[in-house]
Amino acid sequence: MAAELIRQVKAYAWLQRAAWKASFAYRGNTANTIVGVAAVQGAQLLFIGVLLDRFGAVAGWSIPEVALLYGMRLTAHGICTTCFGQHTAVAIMLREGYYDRFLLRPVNPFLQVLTARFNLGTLGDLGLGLTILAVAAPAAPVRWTPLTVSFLAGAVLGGGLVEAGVQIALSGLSFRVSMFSAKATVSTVFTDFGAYPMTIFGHAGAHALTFALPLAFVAYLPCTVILGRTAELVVPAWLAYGAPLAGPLLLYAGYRFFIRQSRHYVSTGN
Amino acid sequence: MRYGRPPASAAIIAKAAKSVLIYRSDILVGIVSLALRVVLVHLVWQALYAGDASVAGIGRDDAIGYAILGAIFNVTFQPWHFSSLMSRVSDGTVVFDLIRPVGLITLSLGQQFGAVLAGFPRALIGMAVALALGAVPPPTGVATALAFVVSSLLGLAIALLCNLLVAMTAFWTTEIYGAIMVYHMAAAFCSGALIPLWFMPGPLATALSCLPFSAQVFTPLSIYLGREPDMHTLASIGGQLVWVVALAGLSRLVWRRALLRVVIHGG
Repeated sequence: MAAELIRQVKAYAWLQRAAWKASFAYRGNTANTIVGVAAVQGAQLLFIGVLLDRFGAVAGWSIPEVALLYGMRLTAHGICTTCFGQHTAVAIMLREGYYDRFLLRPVNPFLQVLTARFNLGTLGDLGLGLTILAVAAPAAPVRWTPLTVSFLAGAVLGGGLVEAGVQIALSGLSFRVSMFSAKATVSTVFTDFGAYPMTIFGHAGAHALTFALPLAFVAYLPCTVILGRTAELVVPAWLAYGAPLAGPLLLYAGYRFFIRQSRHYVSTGN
Repeated sequence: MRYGRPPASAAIIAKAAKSVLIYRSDILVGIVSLALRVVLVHLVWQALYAGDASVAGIGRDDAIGYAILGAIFNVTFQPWHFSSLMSRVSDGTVVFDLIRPVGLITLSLGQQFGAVLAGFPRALIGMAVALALGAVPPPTGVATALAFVVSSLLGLAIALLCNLLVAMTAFWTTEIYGAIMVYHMAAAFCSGALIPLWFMPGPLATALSCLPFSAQVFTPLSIYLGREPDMHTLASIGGQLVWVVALAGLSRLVWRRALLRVVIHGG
């Protein structure tokens, strides 16, 4: 089991490195993407900047607190997209018949999906997320100790894995039903609504976004621990303290689901 | 065009719409997630206003209505995958498009329009949910509704032409994922689909109103939420028309140059 896991991780690292090199091969596009990342992140910053500037506090959370939440969400999202982002391409791979090739090679097809290419733009999510965290963390009303810092690190890593797990499971559904744009819409719900204190969604909404769609685990729950705001939670506080552990669990569940669904694969035949 | 046959462009549009509608589960999930989105956006903006009647001079109801319409427009008019042109350039299959009796611009625009058309039922359901929640007020009158429809269609034309221009950069760079990303985010932000231009600082709002993006979403939405249509409404629609003509001209120009650039892999 452990030896197998190490073998898989090594294969992933090799393939990812190759995809990384390949993504720099088109120089025009590389230049384009660097400009692109700056523009995309600039737009995101402007969005949150304009919002906070106009509205100040959100549901009782001050600007530095919301900024910390936003930084955690974006960093987690960056971890998800840099390491696992390519699973979104599986729908098109199935539709166009590329997946057949993966089945002919002696590496786990799931890893081949993840490493089919590397999207340079995802580095921007990670970069901006870390920058916002670096700016927001000292400004937030938190006494930083080695313990809170390591909780923060675990939380953003776990958050990235939560998002990856859910999205990989959704991608697995592509083997059964052809889903293409719908999945993108679901994941934008993830990215667009993860950066608000969940109390704004009401009691039922907060429950739904914790248990039906585990959005709260990505950043909100661990953020309430860091900010000492667990009293406002509509779920038990231990869930918030244990939130970083949800990541590996959900990633594993998502992966198992993907593999199970992949048994229903039917080639398009081209 | 021969008698008794619909024009080729109509067939292209119908085929493109069909190729989207055939994926039923996709359509269903799309409808549910847009409805969910409408509800969530409603909650977020209600919380942002938190009892204030107006922020930065914009009333609560107008801001909420705008945010929801913006979300619906964003999903409908500014989809992630808007043109197959780039992948056809990068794998060389664009050669088949080039030998067809219909021009590539007609083909590409027709395909995009068909795909957007297939998203209309979803948008209408999203709109119905918003109206039922009382999150979006009904239009103030027939004239407003009419002006809104005209302006939306012009906004759509501008969005499709901008998409086409971005997709055509594939002739120069082959891989255009980067360009798409920039465009998608820039369009979402600059068009006012994320935040109304009203909330942006003065100079930024002025700068954005000079770009074609605001004509995609902000113009039709401000007409919808505005009072009775007036000279100002006509001027905004005129401005959109100018953009359509300018972008169509630019597309032709870029296309001529692209033809000189096109290289088909031997494959």
